[in-house]
Amino acid sequence: MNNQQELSLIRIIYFTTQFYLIGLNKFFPMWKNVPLELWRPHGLLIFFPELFIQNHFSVLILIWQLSFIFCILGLFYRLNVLLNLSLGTIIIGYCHGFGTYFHIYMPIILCNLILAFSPANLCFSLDKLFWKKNSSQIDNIFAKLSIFNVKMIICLVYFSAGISKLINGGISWVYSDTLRNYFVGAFLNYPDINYLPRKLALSRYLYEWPLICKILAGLTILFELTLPLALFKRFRYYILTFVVFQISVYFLLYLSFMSFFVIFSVWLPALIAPLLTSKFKNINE
Amino acid sequence: MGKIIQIFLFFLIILGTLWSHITREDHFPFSSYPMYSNTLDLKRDIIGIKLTSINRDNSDGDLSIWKYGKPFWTYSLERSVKFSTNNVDRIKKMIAFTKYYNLNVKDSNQLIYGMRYYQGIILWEQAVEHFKKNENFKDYLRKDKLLVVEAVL
Repeated sequence: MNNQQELSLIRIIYFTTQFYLIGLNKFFPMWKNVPLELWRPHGLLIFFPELFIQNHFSVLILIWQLSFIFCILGLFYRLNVLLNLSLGTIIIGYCHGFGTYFHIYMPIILCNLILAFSPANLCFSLDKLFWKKNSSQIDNIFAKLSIFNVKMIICLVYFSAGISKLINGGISWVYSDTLRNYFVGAFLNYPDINYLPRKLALSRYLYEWPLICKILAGLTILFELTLPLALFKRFRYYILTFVVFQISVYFLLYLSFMSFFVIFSVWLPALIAPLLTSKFKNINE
Repeated sequence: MGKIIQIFLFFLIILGTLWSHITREDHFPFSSYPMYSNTLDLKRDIIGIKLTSINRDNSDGDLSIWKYGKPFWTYSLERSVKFSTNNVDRIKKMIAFTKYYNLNVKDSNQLIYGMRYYQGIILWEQAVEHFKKNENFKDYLRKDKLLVVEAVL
């Protein structure tokens, strides 16, 4: 599988996952009804025309959802991916303007930004079928850079989280009872979301084992700081620790990071293709 | 040209993230992802907040935020109200949310007449006891030195 094929597969998988988990998510259309008295934007969001967005929110969401389908099919990709980026930024950004940041959606915008300026329609696309364009060596390097950038996002997110822990908490984040205490904090903070982990409350059993909590805290920082290693081909399967980490966070801190599986999906072609290739090789032999 | 754009995006994203680290603030869509990054010592006094509804008899009631106040949930609404510029702004927000909540309520018995915002020191010892039993703990703020902001329709 060459770079152009991998990038095109990333396009299909990424936009399909995003369409299913984000585009069809009922959470976003609900913000249309939130009164604008609660509108308190920060940073660049102050430039958002909140009244216009609220009045046209349903239409914006509909066009956004349609643009996903065009991006998956790779039809008029250049136009649709820019449309998807713009509308995604507006819709997701609008929800961030009511006083609460949802960090979980921010990396998706960065991934969209990279894919909006990448040649992800060179293979497996209707554009390729209708307008047969010969790809060049330059396209291959362009695709390679795009793949690296889009894969980097998830590593950057965790690396940043690890650095933040070292800056704000220092090494005492590991050897103090911080993680253990966060279990209690999550219990107070999230009384009404994620019913199953909340009902099971597995963290209360871990709470009784302070040493294990400290080991878990150390492993957390280690995982976050070393995740960029997965960018090296030899260590690519290291990215799978992300799944274990997120499931643990869901059950112990009651936080669902489903949207992170969207940015994780860009890794799937690189993880699955080598397995398939070796399997076919074995069959042929 | 495409290559240059991708290299530019690489540096843009790295610098954007670095900027968030330096300023210790989120700059949409850049963040330093500071969730759970501070140390948490339950022996220290930690400020907590709580939102309640106001019943017809002026007593406190429970808000079913995830049921009638979606897309907010308890934590997101608490933060939204907490990070207000001043108490007048806080009251405006709570009035707006009360009206929004009542629009979503289907049974008139569940209508609320306003909201109360409490800010005070968290009773961690009791919180831990409830946590161990997995029991909801509503009165987790110390009654002394409590800041109370009330918004009534």
